[in-house]
Amino acid sequence: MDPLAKDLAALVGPASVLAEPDYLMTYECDSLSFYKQRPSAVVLPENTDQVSRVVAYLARKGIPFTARGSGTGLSGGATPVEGGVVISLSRMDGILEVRPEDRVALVQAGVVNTALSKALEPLGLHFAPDPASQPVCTLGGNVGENAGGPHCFKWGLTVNHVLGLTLVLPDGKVLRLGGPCGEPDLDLTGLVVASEGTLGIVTEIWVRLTPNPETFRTLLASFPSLEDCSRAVSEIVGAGIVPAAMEILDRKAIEIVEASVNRAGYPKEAGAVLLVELDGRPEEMDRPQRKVEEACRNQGAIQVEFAKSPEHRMKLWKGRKGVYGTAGRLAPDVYVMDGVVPRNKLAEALHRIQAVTDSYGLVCPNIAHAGDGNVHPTICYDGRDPEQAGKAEMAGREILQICLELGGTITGEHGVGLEKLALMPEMFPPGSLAVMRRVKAVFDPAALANPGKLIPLEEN
Amino acid sequence: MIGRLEELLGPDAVETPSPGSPWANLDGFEPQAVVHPAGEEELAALLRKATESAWPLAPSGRGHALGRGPALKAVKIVVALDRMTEIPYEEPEDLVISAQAGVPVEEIRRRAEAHGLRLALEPPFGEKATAGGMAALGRSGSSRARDGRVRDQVLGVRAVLSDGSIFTAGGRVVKNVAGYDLVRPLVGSRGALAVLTEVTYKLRPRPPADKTWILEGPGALDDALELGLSLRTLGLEPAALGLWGSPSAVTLGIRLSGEEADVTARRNKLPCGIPGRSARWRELEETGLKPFEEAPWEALEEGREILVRFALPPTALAGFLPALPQEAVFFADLAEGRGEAAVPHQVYRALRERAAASGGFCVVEGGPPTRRSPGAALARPEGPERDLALALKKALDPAGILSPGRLD
Repeated sequence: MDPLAKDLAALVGPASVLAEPDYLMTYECDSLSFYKQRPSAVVLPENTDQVSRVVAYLARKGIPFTARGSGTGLSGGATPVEGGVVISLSRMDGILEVRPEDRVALVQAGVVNTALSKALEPLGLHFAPDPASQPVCTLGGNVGENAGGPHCFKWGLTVNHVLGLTLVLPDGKVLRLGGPCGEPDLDLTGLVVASEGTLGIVTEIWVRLTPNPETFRTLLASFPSLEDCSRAVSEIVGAGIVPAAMEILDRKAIEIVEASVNRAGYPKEAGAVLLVELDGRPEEMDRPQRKVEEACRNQGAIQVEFAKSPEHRMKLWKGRKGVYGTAGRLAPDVYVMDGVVPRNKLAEALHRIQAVTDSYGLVCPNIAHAGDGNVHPTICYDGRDPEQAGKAEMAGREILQICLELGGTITGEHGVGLEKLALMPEMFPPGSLAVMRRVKAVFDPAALANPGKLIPLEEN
Repeated sequence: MIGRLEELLGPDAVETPSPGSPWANLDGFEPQAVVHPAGEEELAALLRKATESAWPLAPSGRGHALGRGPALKAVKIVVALDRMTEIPYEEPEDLVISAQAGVPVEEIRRRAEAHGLRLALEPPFGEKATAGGMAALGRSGSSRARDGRVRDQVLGVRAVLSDGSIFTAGGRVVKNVAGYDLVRPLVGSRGALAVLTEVTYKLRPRPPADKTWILEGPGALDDALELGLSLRTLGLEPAALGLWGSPSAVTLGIRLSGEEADVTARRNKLPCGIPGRSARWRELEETGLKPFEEAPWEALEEGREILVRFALPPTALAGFLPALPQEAVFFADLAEGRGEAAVPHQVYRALRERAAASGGFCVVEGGPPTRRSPGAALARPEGPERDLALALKKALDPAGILSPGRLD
């Protein structure tokens, strides 16, 4: 065993340290396989105290570290740093406290998103953010990235559901930020959410719980084109309706879903489909449902159908949530983009995105959390072919530049990670990046917590 | 100093505070000047000069709510942002509006309403509140159960650091995780980290029905509190649920918003009243729990009380509110477990301990400046969390000129 692994084993026990190359390979990237770096070691601590001891040791040695949940991130945020250690929170999967009447719970960072909602099911509560990776991804990862999901149009992002955190600072000190009643003074909890593990390691989270909706109305509308579909979204928003979710899938996305095990019954001849879900009490469904249906018909929907049963609803959703996995059938690698545009620019954005991927000859199913203006073009390519990989990367960059031109952002929920570092200076003026660097230095003066992610550390 | 300020901003942008103006006395100090920069560049120049000359200053919108929070230390200049009143971005179709710091909140409301929308924040400030002040104070109103916190409604800001550098945080779209979310610590930082110059707020559709009922004549606190807390478990999902008054004479109010049929259905689930009492629900003509705005302040203006701000797990209010002294005047948001109370200062320590014991907090928010030391006005006046907040203040405002005392 090398000296580093030996030291780490002395802190957390040998069963919680991985140093064999075969094991380390699993940790060399997250779900964005563009970037790979084998870590020096992986530690799997079981509690905050162990995290603190490991981090304090690494700080003394000047060794950088990267926190990791399930590795489902899509921006390279959990890609290890050269010579660094990965601290995996996956064994910290305890639900420590649930207060159903106060609608809060305290969980460890390694709790899987769906596992929490499943545990809360008997209480009629759930954790609202629902990223597509929710059966696998951890709440710590959700905090690190400020994860969203289809239902955050109505219910908000992770940051809207986090009240407090236990944070291990990069020198090993343990902080309790906020708590079951939120942040009393300065909102440092909110600053740590979405910081991609660059300000320390979040080990415990106070989350807000949301009552399960009594009923759902799920509608599938098909349109001749993406533009018609996008206009229907604008009309729904303009009519003052706030569905729980509004998802667009373009023709290519429909095609791959319908050819897969996640077949959802999306009409194959459509240029795009819109999946709209209303949730709530039975009495609050009728008018919004009518308005949604009206908007779809006004914008030229070919067909409008409602889910006839809970099973039908699940099927419609399974198709949507399975797009990324299914895209893997088209090419060995997929590159999922995550731009956001103002909602009234959605049609223009989708049109221009399609033109970009067409110009590179890339297959790219388009899906979007339309209610939020959050577009997820999914570029399919073969990473073994450097030319294709280069095209994928260039197309991705152009897509995000379109989002910026339209007044949007380069990432809505997947994070900057390594992937979008180069675009940060285009998104923010130098003054903003300088403030971010000052913030980083306050939490992590030695730059050991996941360095090189989220913000370019050096000024150009 | 006045001469140098006039040189910098022009004579018509500099005044000495007139007696009786809200800026004449800030927590016991008399500022020498009130300045009204016309825009961000002027403000940046002013801040550079102030840092260079070590002039402590306090940003203000239109002079409202300055007596809240940890007391200011000596302030020489009030930076009034009341000339920065442009709306640079307004996209009702995208449910977004950006307003310069000095835009009255009422103006944002009016514009939203013209498009069938609403600003989903109802802080109890009345007409004096500004777009910048509302964000800097971060104080949500009684509709927090429905609308969330101020920080949940702010998408982005423009701001100026004390060294004069201008920066943006967040953006104008509803989802944005690019870089650190600086909006979060800036909202509620009471002008101590940076001066906000522009705030982008989300807008929401106006619900077809939005109604408020109050229970008249429930009398004493205990029965009304029990009933109020029990309403939380009925699936009513109120936009607001408040209990206010004094322990011997309270009023319970509930606001329901949404689809017409849904509001009616939920209204019908309300229990008739309190057994053995003649209390009954009455619908208000104007919706919203207005007493939040009035009650504690009236008592404060008499000058013998302090105003505390508290937050507890809602169920813990069952133990906390009955501990308020008989002379207290309070508003409690039963849905969110938060509120404010005007109380004699002698009872403050006990309330603070009681709130902390249930995982919440109780801090001094208003009253004489001597009662608003960091030890009383902050929930965590010491410890590593506080050290980090102080380090952040130092990193963004190394000269310590911005609203000194509010954070440090």
